[in-house]
Amino acid sequence: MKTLLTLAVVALLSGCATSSNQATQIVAFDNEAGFLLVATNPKFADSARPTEVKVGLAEDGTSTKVSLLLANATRTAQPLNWSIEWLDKDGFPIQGNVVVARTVTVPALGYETVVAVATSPKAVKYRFQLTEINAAKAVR
Amino acid sequence: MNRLLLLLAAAGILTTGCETPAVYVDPNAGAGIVSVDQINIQDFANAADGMLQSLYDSPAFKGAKAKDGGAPVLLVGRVRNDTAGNFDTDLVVKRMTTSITRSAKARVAKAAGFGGAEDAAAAEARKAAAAESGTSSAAIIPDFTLSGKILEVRAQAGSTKQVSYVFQLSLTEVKTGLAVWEDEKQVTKQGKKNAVGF
Repeated sequence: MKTLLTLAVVALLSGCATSSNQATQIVAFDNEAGFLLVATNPKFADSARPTEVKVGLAEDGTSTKVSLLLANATRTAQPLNWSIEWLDKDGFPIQGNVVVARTVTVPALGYETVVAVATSPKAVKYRFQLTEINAAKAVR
Repeated sequence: MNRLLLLLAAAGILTTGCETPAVYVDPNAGAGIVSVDQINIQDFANAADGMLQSLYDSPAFKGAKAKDGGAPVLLVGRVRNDTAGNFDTDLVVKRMTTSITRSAKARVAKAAGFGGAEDAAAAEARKAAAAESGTSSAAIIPDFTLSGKILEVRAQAGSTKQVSYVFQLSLTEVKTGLAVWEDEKQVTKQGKKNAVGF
């Protein structure tokens, strides 16, 4: 997990250094978890750092449930949009699964947990997308 | 006269050039129009998605089986639109039943329903098949029913308007008549004028 986070941070910083006017898109994956961070602010990885992922079963006993703890190491609250795309065991997106973005704010020097439950029994993998609000406007 | 025509033509071209061309957007990703005074498509998506997350994270369907041993049967009851807006509540309900069907957690009754079958052709075909075989078509007895209400609360301070839409849904177990899952999702929008995006 540490490797993944380091990769995401390094990639985010290097991406912004080359094109500060463009929204930076970072993709970092492993077999278990995927994150896509979209930001124009180079400090986004510090203010919305994916810190801990927990995977388990929802209350219905069959659906995959995942929670992601976001940490904000800065002194400014970080609003962001987040969404999760569910993938099957082979990594293909689940057909008919509408990806809905939600807004959340990670408090300054604080934490925020986002939780998602898979709407398909085939969903075993996932891909989080964390988008800085300003970047969302920039890429539109 | 000619000069006037030229000026008018130039103004027309200029005005047309300034217009934003229509584009395809993904309202679920925050690119949709946000209306202060009415409900938008992304509000339905958000409410339905939130409701589904809540439903799947509840034990409502856990271990439930229909009499035939298959997944339980769900009948969509009355979902009332108590807002000032004129929209079809299927914008929420259909998203939910689509997901429930795909998830195989329950089977949604289409040839029977509150106020008539959603799929009238299926209902007629069942009747015809039963008549041909000299029997009466077996009634679809649901194991669960889904019902609810969509409400609206408005407020204004100066020129700033605020509107809240409250989505309330209940899942009732027919056998006991008791709610096995209930939830309420709220969408609140505030502003002076309509905007695009989050």
